[in-house]
Amino acid sequence: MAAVIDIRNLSFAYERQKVLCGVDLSVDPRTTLGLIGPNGGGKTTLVKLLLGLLKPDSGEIRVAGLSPAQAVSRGNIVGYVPQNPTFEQRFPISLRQLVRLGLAGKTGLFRSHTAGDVEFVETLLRLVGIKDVADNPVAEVSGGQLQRAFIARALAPRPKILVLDEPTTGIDPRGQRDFVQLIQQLKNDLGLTVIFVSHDLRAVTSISDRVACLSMHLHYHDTPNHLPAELVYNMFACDLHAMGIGDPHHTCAIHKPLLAADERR
Amino acid sequence: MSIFTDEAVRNAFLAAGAMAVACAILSVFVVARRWAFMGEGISHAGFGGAGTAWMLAVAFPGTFSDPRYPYLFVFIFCFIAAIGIGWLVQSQRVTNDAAIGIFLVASLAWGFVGQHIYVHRYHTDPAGFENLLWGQMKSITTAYAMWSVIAAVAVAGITWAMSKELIAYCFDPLLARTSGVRTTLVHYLLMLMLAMTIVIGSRVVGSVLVTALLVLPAATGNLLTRRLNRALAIGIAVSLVGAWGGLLISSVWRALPAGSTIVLLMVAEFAAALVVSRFAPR
Repeated sequence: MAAVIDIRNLSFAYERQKVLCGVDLSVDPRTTLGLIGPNGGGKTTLVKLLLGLLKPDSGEIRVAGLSPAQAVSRGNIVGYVPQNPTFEQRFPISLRQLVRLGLAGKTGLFRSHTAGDVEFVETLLRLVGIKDVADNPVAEVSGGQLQRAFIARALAPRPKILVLDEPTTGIDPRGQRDFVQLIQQLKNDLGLTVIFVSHDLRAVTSISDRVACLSMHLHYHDTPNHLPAELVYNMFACDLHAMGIGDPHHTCAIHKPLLAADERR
Repeated sequence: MSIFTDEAVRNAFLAAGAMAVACAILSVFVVARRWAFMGEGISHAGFGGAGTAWMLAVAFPGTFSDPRYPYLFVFIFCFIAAIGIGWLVQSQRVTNDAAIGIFLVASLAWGFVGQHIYVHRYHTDPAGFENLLWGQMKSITTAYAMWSVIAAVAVAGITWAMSKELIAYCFDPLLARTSGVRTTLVHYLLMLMLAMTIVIGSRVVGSVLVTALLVLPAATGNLLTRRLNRALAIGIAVSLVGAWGGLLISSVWRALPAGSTIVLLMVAEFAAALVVSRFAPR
């Protein structure tokens, strides 16, 4: 099975500050990769490199066999949901119009959306649960509805890959569970490959087929069950609460050794 | 004076109407991208262009004395400013407002240097100095009016043909780019449409006030509705009422300058919309 994302010996620095160093990573089609790491570990930089927003200093990235810039310019290979979209909140468009904006790149200049694409937008509105409020202006819907609209927008051109950058930040635990279920359902229904970038280890482990642990270097890339507690503790010692590990009532298997490691110290 | 018989007034109404429509369409994007200050920067760059022409008129009196040269240089400088500001903003080397501010003050300073050199040499203001600042609605030629209409049709046509890209870009440039929209093309196209509209609109209301036409229509429309098509329609209506109403008022009361009257009428419409929006649901 050819990897849909193939990263080889990738290095990147902002001027003199190294952020990524010698990263090798591949993602199989129709799987979910959870990308975790401490603040400043290079997660968002890696996403920007995947989206062609930054250029690597060395190494190579292939997205569906193309360079990131080529893949993004096609408009239907990568769907992206940013952590905090910097959109103009008072822009007078409805949620339905917002979702249709996701088709702009795929459809191309001076062309109208196909009937099939417009119909698929309606399917997405139903799948993400905002069909009833689709005609509401973006300025008058809740944060949760808006987030679902942004997910539908990213999926509107039927991409192969969905990149979610810190999607569960600021969502309560119940909202996080609902979100994870929604992403699982969309992944299965649409045959997506999902890149799930998060601080929240609970959310990552519950959704991911594989986890990649990034802190300048790639420290781990395997199934969540084998994620060594010591590694997580060493990497994120100051950040356990932010990652959802500080709560003793967690049931996720990997959290127990983590807490035990914490107590030993 | 009747608009049906007086050619100058008819031209003024035609040019003002065309600019009102073009500016109202672009104002949707100017307000969404928070580019009100951008219009100010581009329009004031025109003053730098005029200053260049005045300096050349002093240096080469035989060659650059024609009063049309300042307008040619206004065109050139506005386009350079639009591209320059756009490039600085796109490159993210300086912030949006800093880029505009740099072009604005540099153009104003350069323009005043040119004006002072001209005054020092000829002991009078350059021809058209006041008109450039405050507009010269009542001396608009038929050819200029027709160019205004062509510019308005071009703006409307390009906006219609590229509406999904323009809306995607103005709603969120980063998301538009990651969706495959050619945002650099859209950005510079918007800049060029703005420059063209500002240059032509400057003659209608003056370079000092032309920004009003690029901000007030959409700002008023957004107060009254959350639907894009309705906001655009309201913006065009507000702009036309302001342009034609202002012209009419200044035709009746000659003491009132046309450009300022147009802008004040549009401000009054905005204030009325502000009151209405507090009581009526959008």
